[in-house]
Amino acid sequence: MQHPPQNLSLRALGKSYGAGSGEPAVRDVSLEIAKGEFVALLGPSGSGKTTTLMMIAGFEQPSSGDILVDGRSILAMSPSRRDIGVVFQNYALFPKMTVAANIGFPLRMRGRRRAEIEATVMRLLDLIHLPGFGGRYPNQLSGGQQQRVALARALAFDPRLLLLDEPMGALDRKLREQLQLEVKRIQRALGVTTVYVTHDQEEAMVLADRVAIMDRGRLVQVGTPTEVYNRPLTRFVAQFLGTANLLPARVAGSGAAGAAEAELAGVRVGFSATGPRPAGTPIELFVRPECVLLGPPAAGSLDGTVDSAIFVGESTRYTVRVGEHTILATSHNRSGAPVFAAGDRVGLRWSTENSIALDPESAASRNP
Amino acid sequence: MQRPPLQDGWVGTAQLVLAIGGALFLLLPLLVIFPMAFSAAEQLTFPPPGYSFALYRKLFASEEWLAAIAMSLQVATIASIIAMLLGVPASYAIVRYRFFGRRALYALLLTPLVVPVIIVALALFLTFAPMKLVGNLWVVAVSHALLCIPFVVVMTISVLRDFNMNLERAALSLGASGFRAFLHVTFPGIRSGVLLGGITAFAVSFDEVVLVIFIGGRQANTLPRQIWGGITTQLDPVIPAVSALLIVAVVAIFAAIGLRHLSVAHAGRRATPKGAPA
Repeated sequence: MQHPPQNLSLRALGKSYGAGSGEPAVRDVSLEIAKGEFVALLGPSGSGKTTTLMMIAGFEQPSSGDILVDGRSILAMSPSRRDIGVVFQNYALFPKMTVAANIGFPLRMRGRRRAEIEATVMRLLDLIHLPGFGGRYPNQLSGGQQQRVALARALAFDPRLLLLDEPMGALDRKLREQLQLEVKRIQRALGVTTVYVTHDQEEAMVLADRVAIMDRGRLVQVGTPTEVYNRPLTRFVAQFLGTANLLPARVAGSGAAGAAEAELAGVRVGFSATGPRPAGTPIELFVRPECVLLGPPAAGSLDGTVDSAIFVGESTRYTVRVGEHTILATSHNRSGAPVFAAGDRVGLRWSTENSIALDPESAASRNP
Repeated sequence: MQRPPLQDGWVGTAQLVLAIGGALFLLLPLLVIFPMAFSAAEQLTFPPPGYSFALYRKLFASEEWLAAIAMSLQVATIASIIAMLLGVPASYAIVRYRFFGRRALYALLLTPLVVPVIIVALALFLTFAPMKLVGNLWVVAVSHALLCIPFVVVMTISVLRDFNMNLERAALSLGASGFRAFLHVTFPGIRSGVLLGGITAFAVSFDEVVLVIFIGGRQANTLPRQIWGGITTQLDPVIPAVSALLIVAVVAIFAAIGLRHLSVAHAGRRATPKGAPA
């Protein structure tokens, strides 16, 4: 039985480990994942992303909510009946079986004929670029090879969904980047609906069509990598996905369509309005350091003093003091770009579409 | 694993002397068995006046002794199988699941280790005597299983704790039923520990004398009981011969296990390639 790609929907999913065990691990997570889509569940440790994945796989029973595959609830199904391929942390290859036996295991459990199993194993070994490795044992493979075998095993039975739980956590950076591209290529080739858990924002953005960010058991934002990076909904998302300037300011007035102005250190700066906010409302202005342009002080620029300038190869990271604010600016080191040193007076500016307003969070908020 | 070397100077020497001296003190009495086993004398005398296989000829000609050996093998086999059938699933449940009374169950399974055997023996005697079950081979085996379970449980739990639970989850996600996941993945992973538990259980039962004295009656005459009877009533010279045989058997079994572990560890190390392409 060949499974066409299936969609997955999580409906108000919750998980708590009973009274007295503190906050629920997962709260009210709702997410629609389309056929063939690749979604990354991104969050720090303890954010509930792995628990969510384990509920989809069937190893954890949700306390509330529902999980539907192709419109039908799978909650009553045991993990072995769900037809969901899972790649675990540290791969979980069966150590006493050869690579071929590992990949063929799901087919053996389904009672397929030996010839068919062998053919599928051969095809998958080719797909993961490990032909001829069928007779080896997992402990004879490198970490990257084991990871690919685990992926092949999870795909061998044409699963309805593919779930991956931090599959690259144990690999070094270079290998990880290489494997990310490979995972993406294989996922595209097979068109399998995929949920990928990671705490590495770069990995999430490289791999996923959409990134779903979790914090303390809640889903805080879902969107394409560009959306969540450029238009974070909360301070947490802004900071988790990269370096961000979050500058306390007040709304000063609305300008052109979609644009508004804020007052920051006595200067009016534009931002993209994402909702109606009356003048005087306290906000936090969000702008990524690479969107902050440095130049000599000029009319309308935020003027300040360079605190530090750190050369990091492809770019230089500036810390600029503007009044009581500290603003980070990253400038690419291409020829002709102006260079400043600590102590220099500079003027900062950014274009309106690169800045948005976030609601200041209460004291209970935390920095990642 | 890096181990620090033995300490230098007189402290290290003293430790070595104490260790070897202690080992000799404990082991030498065992070694006395061997010359006695090949004694040519008809009574227990040390040193033996001469050496021969006479005692072994006598042993293997004695129906009483052969029956005792057979009885012990039967009882120990049944007892260790029962202990494993009960102990392995119980250990699995204790390690894998959260349920009410989990700790209590664990403690209960280990109680035979702490309760004096003589008390257990007395309790079993008082239970089985009115039921006219004293002397029944199965009753002795089940009672032995009680003493064997803690060994099976302790060893199974220790291998299960080391076992990567994700392997089992992986098997389930790949379509294996719970039973097949256990059969194909979990059991092969914990087999060494379970077997060691089983062998220890066998040894515990094979060697057990107190329970048998109480509930063995006249029929369930196991080897330890035959030895006990032989030494208290008639100083049977066959006893050292039997004992030597037992020592050799036990050493052989555990040496075999040890050698296998060593060779597996070596194979594992050899199998890890250096600089394999990613």
